[in-house]
Formats: sequence, C-alpha cells, structure tokens
Amino acid sequence: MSPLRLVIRLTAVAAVAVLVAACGGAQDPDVARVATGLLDAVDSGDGAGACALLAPPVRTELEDTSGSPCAEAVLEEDVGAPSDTTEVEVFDTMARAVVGSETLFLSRFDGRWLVVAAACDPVAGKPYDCAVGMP
Amino acid sequence: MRTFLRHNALSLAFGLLFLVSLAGQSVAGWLQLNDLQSAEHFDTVSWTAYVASSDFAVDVAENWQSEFLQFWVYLMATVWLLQKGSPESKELDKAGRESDEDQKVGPHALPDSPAWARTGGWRTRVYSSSLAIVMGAIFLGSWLVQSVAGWAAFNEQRLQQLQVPLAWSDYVRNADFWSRTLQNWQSEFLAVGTLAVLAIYLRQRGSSQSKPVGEPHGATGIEG
Repeated sequence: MSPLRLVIRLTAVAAVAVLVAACGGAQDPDVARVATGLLDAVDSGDGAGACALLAPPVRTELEDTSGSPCAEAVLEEDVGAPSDTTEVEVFDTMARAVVGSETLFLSRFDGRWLVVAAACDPVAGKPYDCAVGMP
Repeated sequence: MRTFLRHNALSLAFGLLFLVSLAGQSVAGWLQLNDLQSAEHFDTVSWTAYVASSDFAVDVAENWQSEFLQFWVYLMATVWLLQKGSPESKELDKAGRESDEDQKVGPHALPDSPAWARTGGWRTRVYSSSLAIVMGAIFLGSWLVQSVAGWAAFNEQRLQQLQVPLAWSDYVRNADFWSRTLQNWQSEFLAVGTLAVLAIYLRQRGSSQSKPVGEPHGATGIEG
C-alpha cells in the first residue's frame, strides 16, 4: 500500500472510530436499568435498594442534609413515579435518563452507573434544580 | 541500516517526537482530568479509559486539524502569493501553477518522473494536486473528529453541571467548538507568516528552510 493510501485509510478509520465511540454509548441499557431501578425502589419503599443505586457522594450528602440514614432519607424525597418510558443519552462517564416525566443524571463509579442527581426540576435556561444530588 | 537511518532521519525523528509528545499529552491530560473529576466528587478514570475518551480525542484532533490546515493553506497560498526576499516564496515571476515544462509533466516528464506525472489526462491533474488533496482531506477528517469528540466532551461536562446535552448540529455553532478551532488557527497562521517574513532577514546556516547566510536580503526563492 502506498503511503498516501495508508494515510487516507488511517484517517478514515480514526474518524469512524470516534463517530462510533461518540454515538455508540447512547444505547447503554445499564443506565435505564439503574434509573428505573431507583424510582421502583423508592416507590416500593425499599430505601436500602434505592441507596445502593446512588453514587457514594450523593448518599453522604443526603445523610448530611437530612440527619438520618440514607435508607430513610431517600424515601422522603419526591423522586417521581416509575414509568416504562425511558430515554437515555450517554456521553463518556455521564448520562441522562428521562423516565416518564422524571429526569435523572448518572455517572460511572468503579465501572457501574450510579445516580448522581434525582428529583430534578427543569429551570428555563439554567441547570436542573435537583433535590437529590452531589455535594 | 545506518544508510537507511541517515536517509530517513527527518521523518524518523519527527515520528518519534510525535509519539513521545502524544504519550506525554495522554499522561498529562489524564492527570488533569482526574484532578477535575475529584474536585467535583466524580470517580477518577483509568489511563486506558482516558485515551479512549472524547476528552483525549478532542484535544488531539483540534491540534491535528489546525496543523494540517496550516500546511494546506501554505501549500495553496504559495502557488499564487509571493514574498520578496523570502526563501519560502517562489521567484517573483513565477506566480501561478507554472508551465508543464517547468513542472516536468506530460511530454516534459523525465525518464524517472512519477508515472502519473507522465501519463497526462486526469491522472496527471490529480497527481499535480495530490499533496494538497491529502493534506486537505486529513484537515477535514481531523476537524470532523474534533467536532464529534468535542461535542461528546462538551455534553459530558454539561451533564456534570445538570444541563441538557446539545445536538451535534447545535454544538458546531457553539462557542466551545469555535474557541477550540480558532485558538489553534490563529497560532498556526502567525507562526507560518512569521517564518516567511523573518527568513528574509535572518538565517539558519545549513537549513533547507533558510537562505544561505551570505545571500542578500532581496534574493527570493532561494533555499539553503
């Protein structure tokens, strides 16, 4: 293969690889599973199960601000009702899941998707206002 | 082996410098990203995850596109634009694509000219611009990669800030994309323009990019 063809081929491969990498994550089923799992757990009163799906800093923040254990505090939050309709967008280590009318934000911790913000209300032109979130 | 190294020292040296620099960038960028991740209470990422991330891809691609654009623009500009006294310029009466005789194509080709320079027709037309075509293609490919990787990295940051991600079509009109693009373009154009002008008056003995030390300032199109 000539050097010119090699350069063209390598460029094309790199471009396709980045396009696939950037778009491929958008279908990650684990994000939807964790997001709906949190809403299901809170809805069924399973505080421990819900806390297991929260990122460690979120659990700590919840306990610090409520003054009670995570498993109790999380059940006091209005995280929204479960729904079968889930839309997911993934960009590298971050994801957003829209479950029914609820929006949750997730991030990877030790290779697992965990919720970093829930009970979120949209604010026009600004970030979501989330009752459950990072410090 | 020694002859091979001596005859290819320029490409080998720059290939090595490229790999060492890229490796250094990957480590520095990885440490920088993990500092930011920790400060925001997010999990740190492994080096292998970082080099496969959009953060690394956009930082690499934004520099690649500007470098290849620089050489593509320079290649095309130096066909038509001249600079009196600069070794980067052609002689002052040679602006343009020049004659077939000057360019040694078709019937004027030498016995050892490249085959596509000899054959004429579309092959000679393509080969006559092959350097610009490939440099331009790499520029466009790198710029496309920058736009996609930059879009993903920008949206990752927006999600960390609990903001709605942008569509790619919105990102390529966003200030982040153009800031990354133009901050590289301005430095490339400055560097090339500076070399073309400084080389009128200054010399580097022995370099192919400089006039001979004793060459008058007004001599144009002469390289050492």
